[in-house]
Amino acid sequence: MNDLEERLRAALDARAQTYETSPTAWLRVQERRRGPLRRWGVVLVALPVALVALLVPVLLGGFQGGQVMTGPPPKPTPVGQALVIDNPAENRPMRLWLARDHEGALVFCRAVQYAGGASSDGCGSTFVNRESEAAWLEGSTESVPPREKVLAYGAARANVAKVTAVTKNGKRLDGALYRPSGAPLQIWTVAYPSTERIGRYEFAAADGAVLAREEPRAMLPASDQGEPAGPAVEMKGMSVRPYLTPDRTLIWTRGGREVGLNFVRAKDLMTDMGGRRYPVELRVNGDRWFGIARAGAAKVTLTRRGGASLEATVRTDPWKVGVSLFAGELPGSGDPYLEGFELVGHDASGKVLWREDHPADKPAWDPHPPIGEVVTLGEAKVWFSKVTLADGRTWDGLCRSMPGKKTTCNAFEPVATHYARRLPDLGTIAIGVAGTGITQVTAQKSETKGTIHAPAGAPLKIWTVPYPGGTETFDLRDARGELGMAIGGEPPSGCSVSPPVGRAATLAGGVTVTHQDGCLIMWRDGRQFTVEMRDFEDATYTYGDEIFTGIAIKGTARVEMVYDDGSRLVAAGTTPDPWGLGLVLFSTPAKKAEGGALVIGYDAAGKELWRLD
Amino acid sequence: MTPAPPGHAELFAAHYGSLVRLAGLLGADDPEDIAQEAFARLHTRRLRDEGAALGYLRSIVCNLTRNRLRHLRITRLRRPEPPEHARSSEHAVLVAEEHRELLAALDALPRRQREALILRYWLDLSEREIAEAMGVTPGSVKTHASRGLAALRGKL
Repeated sequence: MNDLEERLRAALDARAQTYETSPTAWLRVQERRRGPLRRWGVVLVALPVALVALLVPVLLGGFQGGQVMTGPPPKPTPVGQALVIDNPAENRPMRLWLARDHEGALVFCRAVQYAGGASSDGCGSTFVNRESEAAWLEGSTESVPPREKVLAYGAARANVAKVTAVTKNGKRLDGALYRPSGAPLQIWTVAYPSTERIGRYEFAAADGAVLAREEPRAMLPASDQGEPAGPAVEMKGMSVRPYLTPDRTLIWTRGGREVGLNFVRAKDLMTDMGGRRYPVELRVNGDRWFGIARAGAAKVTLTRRGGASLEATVRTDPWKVGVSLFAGELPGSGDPYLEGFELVGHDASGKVLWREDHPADKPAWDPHPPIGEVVTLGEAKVWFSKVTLADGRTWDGLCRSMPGKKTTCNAFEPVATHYARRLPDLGTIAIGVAGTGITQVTAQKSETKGTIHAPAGAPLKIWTVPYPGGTETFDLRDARGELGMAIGGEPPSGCSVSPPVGRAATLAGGVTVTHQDGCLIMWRDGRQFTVEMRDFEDATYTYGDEIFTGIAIKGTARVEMVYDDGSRLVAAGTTPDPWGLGLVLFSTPAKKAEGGALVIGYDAAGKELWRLD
Repeated sequence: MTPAPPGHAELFAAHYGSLVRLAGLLGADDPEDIAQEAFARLHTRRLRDEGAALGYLRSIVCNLTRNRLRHLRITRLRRPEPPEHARSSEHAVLVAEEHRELLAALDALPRRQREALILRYWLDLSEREIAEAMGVTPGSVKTHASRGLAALRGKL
């Protein structure tokens, strides 16, 4: 080798060393693998072990060309509870948690279930280089092609009170902060439409001071990776055309946005990872279903479980790729993958060429795993589970599922042996939870005897009484017939027993406030005060437990409580609500055991805006 | 259902870093994006053996980088604006002064000559492997490499 060759080698080595690798690279690769997801079910489910085994040593040692791991380290041990949240990108639950690797370093872990039925999980970067940072981005559900929504997530230290995504055009999108019980860091999330381009994430303290910023890297659109190689075909409001990428790719767009890819180079065309050919690749985007099928298909139908058969428009591809293109409308709501469906391809004479059965997609993990036996009540199923609140605490909850409806869980405070609670009605059934000492329930007015269910393995009982509605009182008694509790009045709404979950605002005195589904919940030390927003007028407040806290109409800058002796308690500052309700929140330590009878709200100029007698 | 082909994770662990660096050396503005895409595309292929997979990965990196550079050139033509080279100023500082002149000359070579030299002198690939990565014949690899070296010698 001559001198020039040696110099060239040294120069290339020097330049090569300047390129760094992201510790979350493997996760990003997983996020891109959104082709025939259905085919990868086994692969992705099998990935967690490989992923954990892979990432940890790589992160500690850095990536080096030619380096091969010799053995997997132990799986990181979770620290604190896992956060289970809705992943808007996949319309499935997602789990985020912190863990310690075999060397004791903290790592951030996440598990994602994809709409096509697959799932993946794994732990990403260690925090060894993050010791001086207040918060940072760990990853997102961004993918090529993009889903309609993206969820970005990361970790934050205790002094971070607000996370905001700032788009390239200056729009500010508030995120949520969660404090999983026992976790050493907060977990933050921001959900945003994939049409938004995020310029940076900002992490601020309670006083608004920005503690950290991070700029995300956007993925390249697929169409950036090659030039168009043929005319576009328009079908059902979508456009599809081939691109000369290395693999030759059909790119589907809708409203100018990429919504689907098909790799169509002959050796890749509808071929799974085992080299087997399959007859159809399906994509679903909102109210459209579309894809490619083996050449010769003249009719493609999709039949949803219990639903009508839908027929797609079918075209032969004009680019000689050798496929039939199809696109159809998907009326109504619901998720065909969750319900299950069958795809059938026919030739021009109507003969069936192929069938693909898609059984209902079962969750890779249950966000509300049952504690004890599941009880069937008509079409409904109910079971006990644990519910993680927005402040990270865990309450007992009773979950319910009905066909075609989202599973909901009502959290409740501890229930003693002879105690009971009523929960929102289940259609025409009054339902609640009861301590283990309760053995019978009766509706007083209608003298209807109800049922006490004691699910095997459950910590409490469930009581039910058929109930036509209106005011009723339910007597709950023990085996000796002694009254444990009488529960009367109107049935509770979903609000009064909703757990405080979701994005939380933190106020003075340790008060945390959440808002979800029309319920605004303020809580402190495990006690909660709930406001149904449909009943809200000028202001509402709660007093006691050494705290005076509430909500008021926008413009309220100061709130005063007038005690009976004429003295006043002043909540001098208010905080705009973070949910865009147009309200303000206030909180201040209480001075006296008993509150006064008059509360007045003032604007910034001192003008009285409202008063509650 | 198809069982997971063995070796994807191991391939990633062993070669992701070098493929990022290859994309960077070839001039990609976002080398990690290129390398990640290459691994994602690997899953459309059946893995015969590690060598075949690695060759496939290298060829995707070369092709993606080539396409990306073409796209950037087109974008610049339509909307002329810097930067000419996407690497950061920090990058320039990190590369020792002694290599600057040579690397600048390398950057100025025609694309195929540059690719051949990088694959030969950084990855130590054989002519056959270089040909596979570049999508050309082994004979033309020899031509591109020797012309590239001659051009460098002339410029220095």
